[in-house]
Amino acid sequence: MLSYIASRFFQGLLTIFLVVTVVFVVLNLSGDPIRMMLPPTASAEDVAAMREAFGFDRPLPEQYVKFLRQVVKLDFGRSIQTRMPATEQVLMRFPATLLLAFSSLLLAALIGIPLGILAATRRGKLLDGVAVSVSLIGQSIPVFWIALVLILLLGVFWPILPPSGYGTIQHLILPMLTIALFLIAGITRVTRTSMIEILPQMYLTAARAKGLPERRVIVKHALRNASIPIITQLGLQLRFVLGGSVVVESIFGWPGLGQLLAQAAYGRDYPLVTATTFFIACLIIGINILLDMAYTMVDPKVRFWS
Amino acid sequence: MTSRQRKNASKPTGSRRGFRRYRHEVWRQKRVAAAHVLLLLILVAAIFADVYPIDANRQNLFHHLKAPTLSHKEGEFPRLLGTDPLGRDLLSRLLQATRLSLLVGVLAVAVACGVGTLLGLLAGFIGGMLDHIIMRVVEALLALPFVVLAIAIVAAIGTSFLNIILVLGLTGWVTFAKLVRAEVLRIREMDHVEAARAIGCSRWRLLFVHVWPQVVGLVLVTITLTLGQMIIAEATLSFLGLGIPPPTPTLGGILSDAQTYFFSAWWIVVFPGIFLVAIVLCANLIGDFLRDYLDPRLKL
Repeated sequence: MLSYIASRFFQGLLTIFLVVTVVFVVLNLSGDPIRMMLPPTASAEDVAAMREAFGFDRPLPEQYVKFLRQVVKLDFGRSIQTRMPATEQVLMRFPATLLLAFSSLLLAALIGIPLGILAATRRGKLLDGVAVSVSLIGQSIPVFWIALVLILLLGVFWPILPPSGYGTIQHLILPMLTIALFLIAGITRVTRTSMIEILPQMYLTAARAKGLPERRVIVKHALRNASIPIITQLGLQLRFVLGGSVVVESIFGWPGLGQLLAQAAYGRDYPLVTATTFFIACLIIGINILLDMAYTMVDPKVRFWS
Repeated sequence: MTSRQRKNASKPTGSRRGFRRYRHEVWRQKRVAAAHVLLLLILVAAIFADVYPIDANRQNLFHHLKAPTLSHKEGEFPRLLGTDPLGRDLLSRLLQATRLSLLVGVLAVAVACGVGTLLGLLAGFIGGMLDHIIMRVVEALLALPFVVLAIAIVAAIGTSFLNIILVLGLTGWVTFAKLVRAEVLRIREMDHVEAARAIGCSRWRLLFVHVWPQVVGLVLVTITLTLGQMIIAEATLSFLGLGIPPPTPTLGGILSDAQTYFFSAWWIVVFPGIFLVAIVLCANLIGDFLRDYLDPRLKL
């Protein structure tokens, strides 16, 4: 098992290296980042000075090597807007994003999984119809519109929650609800489908025949076997939450990674954009490795090592 | 079995037959039929957006944030969905924005589908080093959320109509490549391909005559399901101010402006969202239907 973890770790490092390369290529797509940073009225001397200051006057391969060296040292330079070290700024934003991500994922799982199970066991009934519609519509609503409508309902028409800010539990509720509502759709759908596949299995009939209560049959015997696709879905969604919360964080003024990235992109703050994307990628790759471990816990048949 | 029956059985999807069967299946499910009709309506409305009697960009500060109404002055068209902060007619702007959304969505899907399908085919069919390289890149791109990658690219190349399509295409091809590659790997081992290889078909003939026809269904389904995502992604970028720059009306941009006027004007928050959801919902419904219709075994 240790060697498996080690090999996954190196695979992860390779992916991170590729991500970093992709980011480097992307940032050089425009040909001249300096031109994008400075106003069009900037004088030729200013452009040249700026280019030299950032090292953009060097040949690309040299820039790439220098860039990789920075990455290894986790030093992405200073933010153009705030003059603070980019890495420090990103790390400061981590707790807020993690809090929002995990609380909304938890809420969504607590609603979505039972809803999916109930829909699967009452297939074709009213509740099933509701679950199917919820997951279909939920997947078609852009998350920022959910946010706006929630603010309109709970912040304006019936003002019980603060529409933006950070610090108290009340501030957490709206952004959490926004992301959770979006996630419930996917979780419900996957739970329902995988439960429907499991339910006709003979071993469930056997479990019932030996006199287990239905509850136990469903939760202990069926759900556990249906849980691999559900875990996969949760992992995919965490990816969405960590990155896609850019919009939600911007709307609710939530001081997380997403808001930082949006601001950095808006200000063409290259060091900050690079640092934020790098850390988001690391987080996602790390979580994927943890999820692979989780598979082996719910299903002893899954063994990635021998 | 008579020879005629056999002919029909072996050829269930001749062009006219195929369309009739499709129409028949569509009308059997109310939801799917409704989605087709609604999408067609939206399409027609978007194509003829310029015919609408009120100019989308004509500002009139006397009409600042007027609520939706049927009443109107003599010789003027009613502001059916109200007006925005600059007094521009909301419905007219929404029609223009819808057209733009659809256009960007379709073009972005075309780019993503073209690049992704081609690379997926090559990776799956040729394999070896090429496969390795393509899949590693796919993996790296998948480690970055769609929006994050799109934002990084926009930050680098700036915003314009063409750039947005490029951004969405360059982030969206991964899905196509991944799905197509997996499908090609499966099909390539099938007996009919093996047989064709045994009688000496060339590589390209194998790929285009024996493998490709079996991948088309998957590609079609992915196109419809990706269309909705692309439209949402475009709206998201515009919403963040990183999409097609104003004054061009976009659904995301209109919603972004609406944030300031929460307390006074609910309609500029509600209606653009309904337009957006309607388009995406239709595309998703049709995509789900297509998946069942073309191949019930497909799972995406």
